[in-house]
Amino acid sequence: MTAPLRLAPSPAHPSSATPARAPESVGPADASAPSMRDHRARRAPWLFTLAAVLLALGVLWAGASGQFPISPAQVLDAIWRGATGTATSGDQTRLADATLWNVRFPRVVMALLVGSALAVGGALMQGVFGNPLAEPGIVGVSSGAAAAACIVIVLGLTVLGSWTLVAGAFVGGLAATAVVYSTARQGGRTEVVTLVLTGIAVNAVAGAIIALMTFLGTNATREQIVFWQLGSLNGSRWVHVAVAAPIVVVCLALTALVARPMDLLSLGEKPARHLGVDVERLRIGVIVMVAILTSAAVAFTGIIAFVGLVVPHVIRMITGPGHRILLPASALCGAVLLLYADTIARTAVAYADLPIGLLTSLIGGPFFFYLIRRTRRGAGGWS
Amino acid sequence: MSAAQDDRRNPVTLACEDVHVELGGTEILRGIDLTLRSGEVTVLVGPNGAGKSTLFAVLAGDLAPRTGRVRIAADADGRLEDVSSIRPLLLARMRAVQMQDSRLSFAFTARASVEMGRAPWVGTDEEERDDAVVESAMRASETLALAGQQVPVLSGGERARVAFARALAQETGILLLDEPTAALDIRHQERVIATARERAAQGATVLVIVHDLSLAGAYADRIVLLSDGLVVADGSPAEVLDAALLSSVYDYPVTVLNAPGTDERLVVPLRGRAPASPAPSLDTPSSTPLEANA
Repeated sequence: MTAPLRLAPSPAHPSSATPARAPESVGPADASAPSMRDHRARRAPWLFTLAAVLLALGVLWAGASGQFPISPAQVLDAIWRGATGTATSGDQTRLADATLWNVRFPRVVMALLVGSALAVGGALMQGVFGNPLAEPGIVGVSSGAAAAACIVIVLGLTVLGSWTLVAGAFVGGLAATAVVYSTARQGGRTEVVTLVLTGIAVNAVAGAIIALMTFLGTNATREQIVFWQLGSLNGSRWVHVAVAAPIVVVCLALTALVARPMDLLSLGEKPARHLGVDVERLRIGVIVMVAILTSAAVAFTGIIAFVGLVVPHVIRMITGPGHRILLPASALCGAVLLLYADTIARTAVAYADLPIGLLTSLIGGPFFFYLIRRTRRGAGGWS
Repeated sequence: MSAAQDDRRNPVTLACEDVHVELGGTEILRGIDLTLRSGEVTVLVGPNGAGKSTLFAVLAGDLAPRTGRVRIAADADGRLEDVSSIRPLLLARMRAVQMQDSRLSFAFTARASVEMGRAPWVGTDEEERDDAVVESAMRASETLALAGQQVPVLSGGERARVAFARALAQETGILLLDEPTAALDIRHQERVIATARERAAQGATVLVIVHDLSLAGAYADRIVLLSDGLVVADGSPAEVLDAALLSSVYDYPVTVLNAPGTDERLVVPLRGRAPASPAPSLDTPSSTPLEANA
């Protein structure tokens, strides 16, 4: 035994809130304990290190890439100057700094925030639905948020200033999540078929609203709406970051509170309650978080699907399903994935900015297909 | 095992009074009174559809009865409090529940799944003992060899043993087990019930649902026989395992034998003497009596 044990048996209050102790095991010392642990969890430090390195390289790459060439060294210099407030010398350097700080860096930060938000939103949604195929884009939360955002744009609502759009997207996202949640779940679990069918229904209604708004809108608003449906980080500004960053950072911090209860929730709702989880509060909290994270992402970048599906799934394969690793790892890897995807999207074709939603769906769609097949073959079939 | 002691001074730790439950317009429980005492293994038996699982859910706090109440010993003095008024976390430190069907949505290892049983004690001094408790629970349920395997690939019986280990690891004074032996082979059936029996000997309150009446007879201090939403018998195995009573409740002729060399009772169906056509009843015809044949 490694832990200091109080060997005196507890007084006989078997019913009270003191544990009824089993006799301590008389077997050999717990030498085998390390090998009994989930070996996948040991890969976590490597995953975090690798992701952090990729993140740093990605920032340099994203800064250096574009129509105006800037060397990675200049990117580092610009970050240094920006951070310390040092003045620049020379027109060339000033132009480079302006490009980086006004155009590329806000876009980089936005990609990181949105990637984190989408991946964590997906991981949380899968946890609360008890289904590895749940994802905000697939079940229609993203399009619900987009539909509400379109309404805000076309009606020209500005009640809450620059937050109006986010607030509108949030209301739409929350409504869509609530609909999916109340329809698709039974006994704490969701069957794949039900989930996908619900997604079709929600996407259809949201699509109709978006179509109506496109019909009602002016040319300018139509362009914005199209941008929403394709998803793009083009035009990210620091003012957008200023709205998105607090939302995403606070939500990511809050995920630390739900990680352990989310593990228990994978046993099902009743067993989780038997283990002390206030299931009602947990699921409402998590659903609100999913809606907030998804809407924050959708409000600024439109619908970028499948990030929330692919990232958590790959992380589960590497480090196992425990949410205490899964949630922070999803945040980090989602950020890295979207940063690289966005850099590819804006540099793959010269003088063109491909919609990033197109890119993620191109990769994510087939991946979803593969997951459906795999899940169907696995024990338990469609569940 | 001995029959229920006449000594009834063991404190009551879980009690329900006049419980009525309706599900989908059908009255499932029609006024159940039941008291569970520490140090006793109470086995709940009855035909399919008798209301066992519903009563179990009511006792576990999952289902609020239409009328009546469930109270649990909530402090060291054994004062009974209404289950619905206790926070889930505190309730989880008082009673552990093993459900009939244990599934995991994600591929946690068996060990991680047993460790989940320690969740109610996070942040208390008990947390220090986590490793020792988990190991001892896994040893008792013979799941140590499965520790590193992912639960979804385990067989039904193995999953049930992991779920049993999780309930043990919770180290509560009350253990509620819904058919913990249903998927198990004969060795593990005996071991699971014997382990529950050991817990009772240390002072725990144990409620088990089983279908195997001989198993119930061997390990129970007390057997509660449920039929059609009512308690029709409540007493020692000698009192409840009565051939005439069981034959009538299960609507299938059975006989009760004494196991050679012990006073254990074996319930055996009288095959070939079944009624020609199953009498109309809520119970599914081809049910429990055959399972009684150990």
